[in-house]
Amino acid sequence: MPSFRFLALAAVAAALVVVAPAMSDSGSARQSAAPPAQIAGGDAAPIIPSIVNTRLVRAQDALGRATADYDSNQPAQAVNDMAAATDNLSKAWNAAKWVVQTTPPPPAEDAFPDGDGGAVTYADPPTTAVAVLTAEHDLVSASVGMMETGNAALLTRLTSSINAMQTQRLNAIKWIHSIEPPPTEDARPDGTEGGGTFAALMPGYVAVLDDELQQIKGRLALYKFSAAAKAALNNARVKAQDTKDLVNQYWPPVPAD
Amino acid sequence: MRTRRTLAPLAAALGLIVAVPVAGGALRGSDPSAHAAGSGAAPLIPSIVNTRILRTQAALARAGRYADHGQTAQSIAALNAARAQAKFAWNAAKYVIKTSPPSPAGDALPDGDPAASAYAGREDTAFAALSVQHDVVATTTGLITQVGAKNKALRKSWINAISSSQATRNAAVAFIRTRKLPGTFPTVMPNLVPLVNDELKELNGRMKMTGFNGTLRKSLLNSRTRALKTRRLVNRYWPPAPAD
Repeated sequence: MPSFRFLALAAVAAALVVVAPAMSDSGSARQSAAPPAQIAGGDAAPIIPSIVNTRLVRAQDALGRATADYDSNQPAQAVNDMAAATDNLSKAWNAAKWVVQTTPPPPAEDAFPDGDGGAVTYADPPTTAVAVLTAEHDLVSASVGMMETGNAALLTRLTSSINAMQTQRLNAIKWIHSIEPPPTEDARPDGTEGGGTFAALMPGYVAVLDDELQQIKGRLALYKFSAAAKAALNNARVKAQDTKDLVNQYWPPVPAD
Repeated sequence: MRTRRTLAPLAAALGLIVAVPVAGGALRGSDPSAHAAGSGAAPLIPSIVNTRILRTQAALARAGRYADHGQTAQSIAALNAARAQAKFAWNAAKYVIKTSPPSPAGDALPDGDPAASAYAGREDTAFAALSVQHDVVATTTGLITQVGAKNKALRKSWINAISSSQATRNAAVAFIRTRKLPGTFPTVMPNLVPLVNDELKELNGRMKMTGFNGTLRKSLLNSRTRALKTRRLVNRYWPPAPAD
């Protein structure tokens, strides 16, 4: 099974979640016989817990099918796949919440020296949660890329999916903030400490939201959408901006030295 | 395979989607997912372009699969989709070029600088969109068969895919040049030459080994001429740095 893994940054205690591109597509994904198996231990990248990962992979696959159908002039078939992707991501977030709520804190540093069989190989809860947030961005991006569709059912589905994902994300961010412990000295993203905490991870999500805003604005500028699609995209833009403002409010960017 | 300069890792760790390698990695059966975005890894292509690139690659993969299964009509449709998506990728990249600031040159943003973005700058984004044109040309050239060329619709889809992508690329090179854009284009654009060389090798090799004839050969020779033109333009506009 494909894994959503993260790679440790050299100077940052936390890690980059690497989520497979949403539309890395049915085609290529299915052609690749060997899934990117992960080997735990050493410096291997921890993987997202299965309870979340299975949902992420299914959402990714459904998005791949949706875009493939759409590009094959079969927009009607993309409707169900988009619904499946949205549904799986909703469940992925529920699973991520459960992981955050139930996972015990990591063992003290050096409790598991290198080579010890007890070394943690799965992503920590904050990283897992951010992987879901990132996948939600993925779904929004893929949907925005198909908004020119002339198929009314698909347009409705895309609009609904974008709205659902952005709302879920906004609620998720509020929830994360509500359960987050008070920040400590080391919890800020100073490049050396505090990785694997929401305080360290969340400010970086602004870049993702900026990317989403750029895509929506760009598509609105480049393509003459129907009134309905244009309204939906404008709503999506406002919601992405609101989300960005909220992230900046909860986890303000660190001022430059 | 082209290289993409790493701007810098995120100051904060972050979950992000990484572009599938643009130079056709996915089409060659490699792991389509998950490429590192950490220190020393490729930056992320902005979604407005990345979604198009991924859809191009997906469509190319479908075209190859259909061709292998002898499903000509579907292969034509997939190839047309790939061509269209590659063109859209460049249109989106143009938007990024016009609306984004130039990337800082050299080590202005060393690794770890929180001001650096995990997303590629406009130069790398433009290059990704140019690279996908190469993917279309290379994959389509690989699909060509003398037997298949008897089918006029299929032959036209091959030729259109190749010529359209090469034309888009040449127009893109001219666009970047004529705007005299500040930034790191002089560093990035010479990387196009190896891709074009690869394309020329494939075109020459296929013509030599398969011995295409008639209209198809003429079209492939035209493709070679266009690729040579691209290389000439790039070398003229952004000449390679002299060896020490």
